[in-house]
Amino acid sequence: MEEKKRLILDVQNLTKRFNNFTAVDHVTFQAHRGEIFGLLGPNGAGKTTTIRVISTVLSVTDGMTMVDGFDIRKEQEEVKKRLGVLTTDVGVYERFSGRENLQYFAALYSMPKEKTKARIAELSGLLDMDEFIDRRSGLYSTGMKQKLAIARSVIHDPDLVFFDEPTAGLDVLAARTVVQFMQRMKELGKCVVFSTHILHEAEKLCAHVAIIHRGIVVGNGTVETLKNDTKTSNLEDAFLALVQKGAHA
Amino acid sequence: MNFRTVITVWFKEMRDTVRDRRTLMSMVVLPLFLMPALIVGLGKFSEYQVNKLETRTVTVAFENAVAAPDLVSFLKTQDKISVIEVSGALADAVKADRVDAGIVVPDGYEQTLADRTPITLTLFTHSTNQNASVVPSRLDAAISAYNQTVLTQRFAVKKIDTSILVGVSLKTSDVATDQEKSGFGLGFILPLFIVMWAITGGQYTAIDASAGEKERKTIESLLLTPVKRITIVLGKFFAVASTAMISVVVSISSMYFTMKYSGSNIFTSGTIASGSSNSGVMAFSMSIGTIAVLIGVGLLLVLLFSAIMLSISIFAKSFKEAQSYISPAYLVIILPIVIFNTLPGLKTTLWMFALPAINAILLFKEVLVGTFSTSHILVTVATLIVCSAVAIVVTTKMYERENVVLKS
Repeated sequence: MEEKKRLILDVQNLTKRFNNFTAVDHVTFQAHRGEIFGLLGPNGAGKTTTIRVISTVLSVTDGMTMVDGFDIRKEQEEVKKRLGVLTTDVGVYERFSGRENLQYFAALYSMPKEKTKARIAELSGLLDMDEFIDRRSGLYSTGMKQKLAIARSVIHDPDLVFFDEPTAGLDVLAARTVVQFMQRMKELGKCVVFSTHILHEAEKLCAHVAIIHRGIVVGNGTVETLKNDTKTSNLEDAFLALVQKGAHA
Repeated sequence: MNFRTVITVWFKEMRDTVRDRRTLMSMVVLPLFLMPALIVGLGKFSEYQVNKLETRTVTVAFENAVAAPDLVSFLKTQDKISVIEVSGALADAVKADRVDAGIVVPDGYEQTLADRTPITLTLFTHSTNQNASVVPSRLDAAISAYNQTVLTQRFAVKKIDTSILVGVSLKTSDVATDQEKSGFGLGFILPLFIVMWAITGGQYTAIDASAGEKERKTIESLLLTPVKRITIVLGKFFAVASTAMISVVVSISSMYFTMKYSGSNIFTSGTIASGSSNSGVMAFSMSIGTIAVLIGVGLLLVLLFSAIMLSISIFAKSFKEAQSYISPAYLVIILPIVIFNTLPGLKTTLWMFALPAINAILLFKEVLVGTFSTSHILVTVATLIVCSAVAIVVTTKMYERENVVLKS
C-alpha cells in the first residue's frame, strides 16, 4: 500500500516510432516519490525521446504510462501540471531577465502573482541566483543559464522532475549546485528522474536505475542488484556488461 | 482555450519585440521616416529634374545650313535653343551626345519654299540621352512657330486673315473633384505601402516567435507547459498582427501628415498638385470614413499576412532559414498585387474582390477616389476574414506537428 502511494511514474511497454525507426521499444520502469531514479544510457539510446513522450511533447506510439495516476494519452494537461523537465538544451529568453523568464512560465502555469513571487525568491535562494536574477539572461554564463533553466522547470513545484543531462558542459561548481538541488528535491519528497550517461554521478545519487540501449531497457533495478547480477563492482562495469549482453541478445 | 493565457503569450512576445532593435526598426522607425523621405525627397528630386530639363538650352546643329538661312536665323532667335556647328557626320555627333539634335536641310530648300511645296526636314535625335528628352517637343514648337511665320507671310501677300486657319479649338475642363484627383494619384502608392508594411511590419516578430524559439531552444520548454497549442499560436499571432498593424498605422499617418503639410508631391502628373491652394500647400485630405476603411481593411490584411508569416516561420529551425523562406513568399504575395495595382484601365468586377490581398488593393483605390460600392467592401471583408481564419487553423496544425515544432 505504501509502495503504491509512493509510486508517481509507471511506464509500461512505452514505444515510440518515427516512421520505420523505433526510437523507444517497450520500455518499462517505475519511479517513486522521495527518490532519484537514474535513466541511464549512452548518447542516442532513447533517453530524451522517452522523456519527451512521458511529458507529452511527443505522441506515444504504444504502451501505457501513468504520471501520478494520470494517463499520458488521455490527460495530457494534468500530466503536464504534475511534471517538470529540465531539457538538454537550456534555452532562455535572452532579452528577458531571469526573473522575467520565471514570471512568464509561472503565468503559463496559471500561478497567482503572490505565489510566483514567493516561489521565485525560494528558488533563487536555493540555486544561488540572487546576484544575477534581475540581469538580462542573454549576458549569463552557461552555469547561470543552467540554474535559470532548472528554476524554470520546477517553477510550478511539480512532484516529478526530469533532469536530462543536467551537468553536461558545466564546471565543477555549477555541477555541484545542480546535484545538490536534485538531492534537495529528493529530501522534499519529490521524484527526480536523472537522465545521464555519466555513470559515476548516477551511482552516487540513484538507488534505482533503468539502463536503456538502442531504445530497449537492458537493465532495471537497484544499483546493487545490477552489480550483483553482472558480477561487477561498479555501475560503469555493470552498464557495459548489460549493454554487451543486450547487443548479443 | 484560456484567453488570459493568450494575453500572457501576446504580452511576452510584444515585450520581446520592443526590446529587439531589428523589430523596432522595421515596425516603427522605417515606416515613420521612410514615407516622409520618399514623399518629400522623391517629390523634390523629381521637381528639380523637371525644372532642370525645362530650363535647359537645347543645342541644334544643321547639315546644309546654307540652304535655309531664314530657318537657321529663326531658330537662333528662339528661347532655350542654341544653334551650334559640329564637325563630322551629323548623325554621329548626335549619337555621341556632342549636340542634342541635328537637322538635315534638303537641297533646293529656298526654291521649294518659294514654290509653296511642303518640305520634309530630317531630325536626328538620340532617344537614350536622358538630357535630350525635351528636344523633340522643343523643336516641334519652334518649327510650328516658324511655319506660322511662313504662313503669315503668304497670307499677307494674298491679304487674307490668318484666323481662318482655326476652325475648332478645345478648352479642357476637368470634372474630377480634388478628392478624386488626389485619391487617383495616392491610389498608386498608398495601397502598396499598406501591403508592404502589413507584411514586413510583423515579419521579424513572426520569425522571432517561431523559428527564434527553436534557435534559442526555448520551444520545448514552452510546449512542456499545460497550455494548449491554439492558445500559444493565438498569443503569438496577435503579437505579429499587433506589430504589423502598428507599422501600417504609422506608415499611413506618416504619409498623411507628410502630404498634408510638406507641400511635396511625388505625383507630377498634377493629380494632387491640381488641388493646390494659393499658399502652395496641397488641398489634400482624407475623410474619416476613408481612413476608417483603410485601417479596417488594413487590419484584416494584417491578420491574413500575420498568420501566413507565422505558419511559414515555424517550418524553419533558425532565424536565417526563416528569412530565406519568407523572401520568396513575399514576392509571391506582392507580385500579383503590383500587377493589379498598375494595370492601366482595369475594370473591376465583383469576383476580383474575392481574391485575397488583391481585393484590398482594389478597394483601397476605390475608397481613395471615393467611388466604392458596399458589395465590394462586403466581399473583401468576408474573403479576408475567411482566409485569415483558415490561415490560423493551418498555423495551429503546424504547431501540433511534432516533426515541425521539434525540428532542429
